[in-house]
Amino acid sequence: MSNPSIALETDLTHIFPDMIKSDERQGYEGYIVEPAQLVYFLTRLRDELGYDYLSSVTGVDYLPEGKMEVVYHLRKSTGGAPLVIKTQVARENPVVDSIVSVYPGAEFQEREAWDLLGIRFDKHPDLRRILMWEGFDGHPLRKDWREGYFEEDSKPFKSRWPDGHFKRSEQINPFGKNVDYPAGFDPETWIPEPETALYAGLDKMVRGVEETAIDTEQIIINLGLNIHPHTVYFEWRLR
Amino acid sequence: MAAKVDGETIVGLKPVMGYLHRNHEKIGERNTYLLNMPFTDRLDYFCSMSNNFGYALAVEKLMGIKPPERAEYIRVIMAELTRIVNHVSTIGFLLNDLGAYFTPILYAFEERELILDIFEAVSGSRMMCNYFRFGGVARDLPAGTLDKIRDLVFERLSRKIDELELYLTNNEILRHRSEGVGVLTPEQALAYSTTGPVLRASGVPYDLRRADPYGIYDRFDFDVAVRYHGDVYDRYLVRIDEIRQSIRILQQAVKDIPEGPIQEGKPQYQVRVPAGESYGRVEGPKGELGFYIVSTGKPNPWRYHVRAPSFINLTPLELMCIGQKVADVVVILGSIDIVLGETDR
Amino acid sequence: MTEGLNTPGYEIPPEMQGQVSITTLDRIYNWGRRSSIWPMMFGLACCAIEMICAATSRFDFSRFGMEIMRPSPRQADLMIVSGTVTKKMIPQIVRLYNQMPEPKYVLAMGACASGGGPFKEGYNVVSGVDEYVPVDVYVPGCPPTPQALLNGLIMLQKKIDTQSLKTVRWYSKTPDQALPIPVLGPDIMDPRQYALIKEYTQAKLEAQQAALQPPPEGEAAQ
Repeated sequence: MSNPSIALETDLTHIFPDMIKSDERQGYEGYIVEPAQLVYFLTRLRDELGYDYLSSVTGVDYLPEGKMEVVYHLRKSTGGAPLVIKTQVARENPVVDSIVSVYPGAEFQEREAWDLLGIRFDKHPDLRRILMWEGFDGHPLRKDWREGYFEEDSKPFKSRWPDGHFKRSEQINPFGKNVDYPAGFDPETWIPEPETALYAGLDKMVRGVEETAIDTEQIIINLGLNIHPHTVYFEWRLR
Repeated sequence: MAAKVDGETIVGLKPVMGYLHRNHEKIGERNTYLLNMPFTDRLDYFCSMSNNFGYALAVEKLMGIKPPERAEYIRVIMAELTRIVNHVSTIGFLLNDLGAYFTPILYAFEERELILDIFEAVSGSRMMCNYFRFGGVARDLPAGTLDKIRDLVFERLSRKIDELELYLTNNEILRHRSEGVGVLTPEQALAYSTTGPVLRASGVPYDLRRADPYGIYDRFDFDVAVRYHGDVYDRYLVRIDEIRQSIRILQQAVKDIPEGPIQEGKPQYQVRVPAGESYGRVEGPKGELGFYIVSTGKPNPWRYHVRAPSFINLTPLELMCIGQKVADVVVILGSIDIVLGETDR
Repeated sequence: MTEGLNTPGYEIPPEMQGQVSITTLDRIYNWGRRSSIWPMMFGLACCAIEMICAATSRFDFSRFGMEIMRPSPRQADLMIVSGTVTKKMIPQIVRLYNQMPEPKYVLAMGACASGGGPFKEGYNVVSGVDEYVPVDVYVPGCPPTPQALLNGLIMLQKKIDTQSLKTVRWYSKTPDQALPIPVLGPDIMDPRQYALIKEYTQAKLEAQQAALQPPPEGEAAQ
C-alpha cells in the first residue's frame, strides 16, 4: 500500500484552476480535466511537474450516466504513487484528443480503447483495431454489447445456482457456436476488406533507406508468431 | 508482426496481436470479485502468484483491509519465487531464440520444476495457483515446505545460477549476437512507457518495490538491478542480477517469517466491496502489472482493466528493430519477454 | 515392445524370441506409427507450458517416441492444440490442419481446447476446437499436468492400435476433402453454415422491420 503522504505534494487545482477539478465521487481519487485542455495539461504536467512516465491509459463505460471516461495514470520516474487524471465525454460518438504526441507509450493502449470501447482518438497516428479483427461488428466492452452465449449480466447465473438446471450453451445458440450476426447480413455476397490500413501504416514508417552494394527489393513479410518466440514460423507474403 | 524489409534489413514493423484475446476484462465484469482470482492466474501464466498479488492488492485497497504479518511474508516469498521462475525460463527461451535450441531450457526448467513442486505443495496446482485471497492467503504452508524453501534458497539456487552463468554469460555467440542489438535509450524507454527489466536495462533505476512500495517490501534490503547499454545482452544480465537479488530477499524473508494467522477475518465467497476505484500494482517479473477496478458496491466489478506490461513493452518494438536484420527481430522479441496471455488478455 | 507386436497363438521358441516375430500387417503398421508420433509444435497458451514441461527431462515424452517436435505441419503427425482457441486464430489452425499429411491426429489439450474452458463465454473464444477440426483425444485439466498429457498420449497410442488398414481414412476410395477455412466477418463464419447464417440474419431483419412498423389500425383506434 502506498504512503499517501508521498502521493501529491500540492493540490493541482491551485496550479490549474480553470482546467481541472477534483474528483468528488465517493471512493474516487484524482482530477477530471476538460477534454479540450487535455493535451495542454498533460504537456505541462510532464514538463513542469516532472510526471514523465505514463503508466496506463484505460477507458470506462458509464452507461447509466451516458458518459465515457478515459483514465490516465501518470508517475514520476523518481518514484511515488500514481496521479490519476480523467476526462469525460458523451457516450454517443466519443472523441478524445490523442496523447501520443506527449507520451508515445499511449499508442497501443489508445488503440485498445478504440477497439473495445469505441472511443475515437483524434490525431492518433494509426487508429486501427488491435485485439479484434477489422470488420468485427461492434465494440465488445461496451455495457450494451452482448455476445452469442449471453445469459446474464453477473454471476452466479440463475440457471446454475442454486438449482443447477442449466442448458448447454451450444444447444441454445442456433449455430452451436458463440456467434451472432447483424441483421440482413449475407455471407455469400460479402467481401472482406483488404488489410490496406496495416500496410499503409508500414509505408508511412519507412525510415531512411541506405544505399548498399547489393541491389535489394523492399518486400513485406509476415513473421507469424506462435505463443512463444521460440516457435516462430515464417509465412512469406509478397505484396 | 508484419515487417517491411529491404533485403535483410528491417525498415518498418507493425505487431499484429489479438490471437489470444480471451476477453478477460469482459468476463471479469461478470464475475464476482473472488471468482476473478483464478482468471488472473491465467493472464501471465508463468507468474500466477504475481498476478494474484496485484489483484488482491487492488481489491484490498477498496475494501480497506490489510493482511496479517505471516501472510505478508508468505506473499513476498511466493512473489520472489515466481520472479526466479520467470527469469530463469526467460533466459532459457532467449537462448532458444539465439539458436541454442533446447539445452538451456532443460537446465532452466530443472530449477523451475523444483519451485513448482513448492507451489504445488502450497496451493494444489503447479501453475495456476489461485493462492491469494483478499486479506491474506488461502492456506498456510504445509509442514516441511519452509525447509524445502530454505534448502533451495540457501544452498541450491545460487550454485545453479552460477553454473548457468558459467555456461552462458561469457559465451562468444551470445555476446556477439546480443551486444548492440535492439538498443533502447533511457529517454525512449521512459517515453514509451516500458517497465520492468527492459526499463532497467536501459539505465533507468525504476523498480516499483522501491519507488512505490507495497506489502512489506520496505523492510527488505535489496538492490535495484540496473544496466546502462539498453541492448539485448544487458536485458539478459539484468535478469540474472534480479534473480540474485530475489534470492537475497528470500533469504531475509525465510529467516524472519513469524507465526500467526494467515487471513484477516473469515474467508467468504461474496466479498463486500464498497464503491470507488482503485489501482493496485505490483512489480511483476515482466514489469508493472496493474489492476484498475471500478466498483459500484455490487458483488461484481463495474470495470476491470489490466495494465499488462507485455502489451505496453511492445510499443517500442518497432523502434528497436529498425535497421536490424530479420534474425535479430526474433532475439529482440525474446529479450522483451512477452507472454501472449498477458498481451492479449 | 515385441510383446504387443506378436500375434497371440503362435509359439516362438525362447532362443528365437529376440529375433523373430510373427505378426499381422495391421499390427506392425500400427506399431510403427504409434511408436513414433511426431507432434507439431503448436502451443497457444498456458497449456503450452505444460506441454513443454512434458517434453523436458522430468516428464520426458521422447521415451514414447515423440522425440522431435516439428514446427512445420508438413512433417508432423499429431497436432496438440494446447490453449484457448480464439476466433482470430482458428483460420490458421484449420489451415495448418489441412496442410498436415495423413495420417494425422488431433489432441485437444486442456479445458479450453476441449470446450472453451473458463473463457467459454468470451466473444473472441471458440468453445472447443472440435467445432472446426475433428478431435481424437481430449485431455481435461486447466492446465493438465504433464502426467495427464502423457496419459492422453498413451490413450492415443491405444487408439492407433485399434485402427485397421481396411477402414482407415487415408486409404479409402473417396479423396480427402480439405476442411473449409473459417472467414473473419462481423463474427467468425464457418463456410459450412452459410445457408443457416443467411436464414438467421434474414429472420432477424424481418423481425426488426416488423418492430418498426406502426401498430395495426384496430389497436390505434382503441
